[in-house]
Order: sequence, then structure tokens, then C-alpha cells
Amino acid sequence: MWDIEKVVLVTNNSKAAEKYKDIFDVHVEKDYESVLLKTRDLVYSGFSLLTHPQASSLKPNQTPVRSVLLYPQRAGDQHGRDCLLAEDVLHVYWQWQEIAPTPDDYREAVRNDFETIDLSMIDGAAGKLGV
Amino acid sequence: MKLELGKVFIKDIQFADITKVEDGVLYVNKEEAEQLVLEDDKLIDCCLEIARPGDSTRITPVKDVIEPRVKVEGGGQIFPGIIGPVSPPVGMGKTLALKGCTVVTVGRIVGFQEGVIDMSGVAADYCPFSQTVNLCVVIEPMEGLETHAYEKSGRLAGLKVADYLAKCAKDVTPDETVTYETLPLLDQIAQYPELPKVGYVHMLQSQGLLHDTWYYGVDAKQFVPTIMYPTEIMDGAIISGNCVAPCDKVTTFHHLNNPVIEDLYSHHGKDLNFICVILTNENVFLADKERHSDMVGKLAEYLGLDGVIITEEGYGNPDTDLMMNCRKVEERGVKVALITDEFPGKDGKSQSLADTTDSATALASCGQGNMTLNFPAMDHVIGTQEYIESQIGGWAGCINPDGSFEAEIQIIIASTIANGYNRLAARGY
Repeated sequence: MWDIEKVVLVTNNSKAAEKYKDIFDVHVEKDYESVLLKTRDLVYSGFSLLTHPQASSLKPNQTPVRSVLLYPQRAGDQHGRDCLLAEDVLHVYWQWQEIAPTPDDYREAVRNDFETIDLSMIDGAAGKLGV
Repeated sequence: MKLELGKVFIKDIQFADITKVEDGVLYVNKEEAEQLVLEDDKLIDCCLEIARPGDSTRITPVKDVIEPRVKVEGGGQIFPGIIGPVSPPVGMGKTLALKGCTVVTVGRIVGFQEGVIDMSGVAADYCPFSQTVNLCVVIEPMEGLETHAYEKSGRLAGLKVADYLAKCAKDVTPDETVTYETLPLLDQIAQYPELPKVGYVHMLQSQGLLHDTWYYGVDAKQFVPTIMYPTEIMDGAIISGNCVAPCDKVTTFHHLNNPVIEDLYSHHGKDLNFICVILTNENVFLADKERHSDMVGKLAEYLGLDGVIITEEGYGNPDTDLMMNCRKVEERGVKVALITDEFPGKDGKSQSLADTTDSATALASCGQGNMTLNFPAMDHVIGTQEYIESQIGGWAGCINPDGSFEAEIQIIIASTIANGYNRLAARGY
């Protein structure tokens, strides 16, 4: 169903990048916003979203870590939905940055925990792909 | 399926030599309960503390809140598939619930931590557990315990203590008994043929570590939508493993006491016919979101429902599940009412949800989590305030040397919980 080597992982999570570097096509980004921008650009250039680009419960101005899985667009994919999602998520991110910017000085242990949570999400999705 | 829920009203908790309920007081053998928790060799310390309404006490970081319940008749055990056997199923016979008291699991699981319960002061108005007597189970993990393992140990610690307390009260005569009954589908429809047939679409958080829920012991992200009798939930068929967003986290207490189910039963046979619960999840995988919202729509149609109420857990990509469910159920000709909370910024002017659909024309709000509040210093803290600044709703510099702090109300457990077990609402004028 899926060609695993065609799966793209866009991430600023070092744990996810390290774990999946030999499994997915990994794009490492510098921060949360650049992950969302790269995701949007990939959607516009012919990729479909495999995972929702927005986290759950962890607000976009709380966690500094994000990972998104994409796949080359196939017949029947909902390109319009993905374009809207990728754009909406960016707008929601900017909205939350106006409420309060994401802290840039998390202790290493806290950053490490955010990475663990994000990796758990990607692990769950990878399982759905048969990894 | 018929369940008689016997309620024993608890007005106080006290430590004593023998764990029992007498004259509305829950007596707890502290050492026995602590030893039960410490049977898990991944936990090196456990300390029980009591927090009462009106105390100058703050509980944080809170992982879960649980109401003690025990099966008296009808087969099965509370929390099936977790600490009880997975079979037979629960939801019938007799169950005893200790009302007015809870077990609160407290522990440092991750650096950004969980929420706050204040037992007095202005923040107490926002939390249902400021009005209950709480037995706090404060746990300490072994050095270097991996986060997933710690989450599991913490989850089980609270459930085991709640189970232990309720079993010690099994023979107590309830102060009040309420009977809930849902018939098999065709019989249920035939019972009130003139009334609108209403279902409840219950969305479970299911995204990974600290964002999970269990149904009969199954990780909710692994199942496809299914139907269940509402009374099964009252016997602990669903338990919480979510411990990230305090304000709209559905604790195990909230599953046991789901207000949507309670209210649907109170209207049952009067102005509606409550048919069943459709259980679904909130997965990160978009194909799951599409497939499972399709299935929810199909089930609503197949069951012949006239309308459904949908609740979600959490903010962000679950809003997409909420809207997909809404749209696809409406497309099947079934009316939808949504219940959720909002995050529109401190001034309330920004978009409240992360997603939307034209079909979402009936929505009840449980309040907005971005409103800020000044939390007074408390004489006693159960747990630690060390992480207030990085907890959801806090920010760098929000805490003062005396322990008081300013934060958004999303830091308070269940302040805007998206099923209505709170006091906040938005009204149109």
C-alpha cells in the first residue's frame, strides 16, 4: 500500500530525525514554523499529507517541536483539503504566537520531553504505514 | 442493558487503621494503600495526602482524577481490561460509587507537566475537584524511568487505589440509587416510537504518549468506531491516559460521570429516545480521520438516528475530527449538535477552533481557556510548583516568589472541559 522510502518526514525533532533517517526521506527544519512552511510548500509541489500538521492539546505556542509525514500525491488524494489544512495550520500558529510567543529557553529536560511526545505521535503513524 | 448505580455520599476522608466507609466518612489505611502502589517496582515512593474543600492547598501536577466505584452484581469488574478482566463486559447489574470524593494522581511525568487544582480561592470556582474531598496519590519514579513506562505506572497507581477504596466499601448501603437502562436497538426504538432518536458521538483522545485513552484495555487509536451501551462507560470501560492539556482533559472521573450521557438519560422517554453511544477516536493519521468520520456517519444513518451530540477531547487536530464528524453525519441526514471549548486569545476575538465546517450550525461552548487569572499563594502544595511556568497556560516569569502566579485558566484541571462538566458557558444576547 505504501512505498516506505517515498514517505517524507519534515521535522525539527532530533529524536525523530535520528530514528527515521534510514527509513523515510527526512527533511530537518530549524523550528516549528519552518516545519509548517516546508510542509505547505511540499503540499503545493505535489505531496499529500499523511498526518495532520497540527498537534493535539499541546498548543502551537507551547511545544517547540513538530513532525509531519507526507507522501507523493496519488489519484484520489484530497489535494484541496491538504492545501487548506496546511495553510490553516500556519494561520493558527501565527494566531497563537500573537497570544504569546513560544518560549525559546526551555530547559533541556523539557525540550527532551516535547521531543518524546512528538516522536510517540510519529511512531504511531509509522505503525499505520507498516514500519 | 440495565445498571443500578448506588451512590454513597462521602463528606470526608480520614486516615485510620482500617479502610472502610462509616457514616459518610471514608477511612483509609494509608500504609496499606501506599504499599499497593509500591507493588509496582518502577515507583520508588508513594505518599497519600488529603485535600479538602476550603483548604489553602494547591494540587499540581495532576495526572488523573478517579471516582472510586465497585461492581456489586452483574459480572465484570470496574476498569475492565486494565485492572479487571476484559470479559464479561460491564454496564449491567449493580455498581456502587463513592460520591463527593476522588483519587487524584500527582507526579512529575514530563517537564511541562499537568494542571492545577486549588482547594480554595478564586481558581476553585473553575474546578469541579475543588468541591470534592481528594485523596492525592503522589508518586515518585525510579531514576531514569522511561516516559512511557512512567505514564503507565502513574495511570495504574490511581486506578488501583480507587479500586482498593471502593472494594472496601462494597457492603455499604447506598444513600441513593439511580437506574439507567438502554434496550437492544430494535426494542429501544420501539419503546418510544414517537420521540426523536438521539445518539452520542464520543470522541476519544488517541494521539500517542500522554494523549491516549483506553477502551476495555485497547489503546483507542487502534480501534475503528463502534457502538456501546452508555452504562458500560459508568463501569469504567473507558479510562484516561491523557495528561497534557489540563482544562479540557477528560479524566477517568469524567468518563465515569459523563454529563452528556447523564443528561441524555434524564431526557430519555420525555422528549427524546437515547439510543446508544458511538465511540470514535482522534488519530493523527489523516486516513484514519477520514475513514473513521465516514464510519461515524454510516453508523448514525444505519442506527436510524434523528440527531447526535458530538464531544471532543483536546484542541488542534481533534477539531478537524470534530468537524469531519459533524459534516459527514449531517450529510447522512442526521442533525448534529457540537459541544466544545474555545481558544480565541485573551481578548476573545480570534478564531476559537482550529478547524470549521459549514455544517457546524449548532454548537455549545464550555468557555474559553485563554482568559487569565491571578492564583493566590497557598499554605500547602501537594506535588510541586516547580514547573508552573512551563505548564500549559503559564509563561516565563508568571510565578512570584511567594508562590502566587498569573496564568490562563487552561492550567486548571477541567476548567473548560468540552463535555460540560464545568460552570462556564458562552451565551448569545
